Amino acid sequence: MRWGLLGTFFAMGLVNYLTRALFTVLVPRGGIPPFWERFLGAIPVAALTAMVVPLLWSPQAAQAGLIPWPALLGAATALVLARRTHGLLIPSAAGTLSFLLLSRLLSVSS
Amino acid sequence: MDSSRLARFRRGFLDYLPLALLIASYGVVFGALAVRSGLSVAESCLMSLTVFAGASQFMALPLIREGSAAWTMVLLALMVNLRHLLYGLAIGRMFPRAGLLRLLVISFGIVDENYAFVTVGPGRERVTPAYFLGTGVGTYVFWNLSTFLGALLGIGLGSIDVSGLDFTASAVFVSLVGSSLRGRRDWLVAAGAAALAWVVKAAAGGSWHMLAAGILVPLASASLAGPRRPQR
Repeated sequence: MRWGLLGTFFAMGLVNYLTRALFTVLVPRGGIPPFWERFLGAIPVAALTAMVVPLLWSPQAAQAGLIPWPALLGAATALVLARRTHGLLIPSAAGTLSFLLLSRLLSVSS
Repeated sequence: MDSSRLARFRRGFLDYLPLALLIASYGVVFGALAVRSGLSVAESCLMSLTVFAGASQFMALPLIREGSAAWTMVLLALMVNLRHLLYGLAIGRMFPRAGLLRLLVISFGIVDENYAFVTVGPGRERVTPAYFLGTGVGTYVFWNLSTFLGALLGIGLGSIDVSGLDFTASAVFVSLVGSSLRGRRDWLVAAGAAALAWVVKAAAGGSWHMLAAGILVPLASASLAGPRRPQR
């Protein structure tokens, strides 16, 4: 056990916790104006989309002319099934399976 | 915890269970990659127990392998997880009557998956502090169990290829966002966030794209739109 590494892990954990807790406890409790309600209501879709899109197709890959077909197929599969079923498990699993199958196909054929 | 809170805690844990199992799939990937990066099984598990943040854990592995200074990993954790500040805004707003201690406790469990689950996913109709705590505990338990399993597999199965399973995380988020889009405004927010995030990521790298899109696009949406009309 490398104790220095453990100390680093604790420091990382503390930093993570502070980012999680700060606005959770500081956000105003009372009624807030409609504008800020609309703003807060739009954050989840915006933040989550912003997180996942560059994961699927990174700007670096695009600049190199690479199209990540497995990731795009996997995402499209998950999206279509999610819209149809409003579920989570089946779209996620199907999206992952599509990604893995196409990845293997492409690596075998190359 | 009284019986009604315990029931809500249990409900949150059980409702979230399918997602927790999906999280476990990339927890296994992390555990395997951690031991291949030079961590022992114990160190891999302690990392998940203390850091409890998939993105910064994955991104720290190359730094650990290279023997990077501690401060670089702590700074990386901060930068990668700045998006949690936005999550806290939404989570804190959900529980206006919760006391400080309760908020501090549930804050530990805020991760991408349960944030999405209770804001845009199936949990949004039932969320209470106890319910959210159930999702946080579910995440923590399955993340750590799967890290342990992955670490054992990483040692025991040598060079078996586990890459690709981490795509599950992207598939989960696409599913959550995709199933939550209700009207033209939601689609426009998603499209605007995707475009802005891509541009900022290309220009600045790091995780600034999440903060930029997570703040600017909602500001634009709130400025341009009036009150949401009921769905016909």
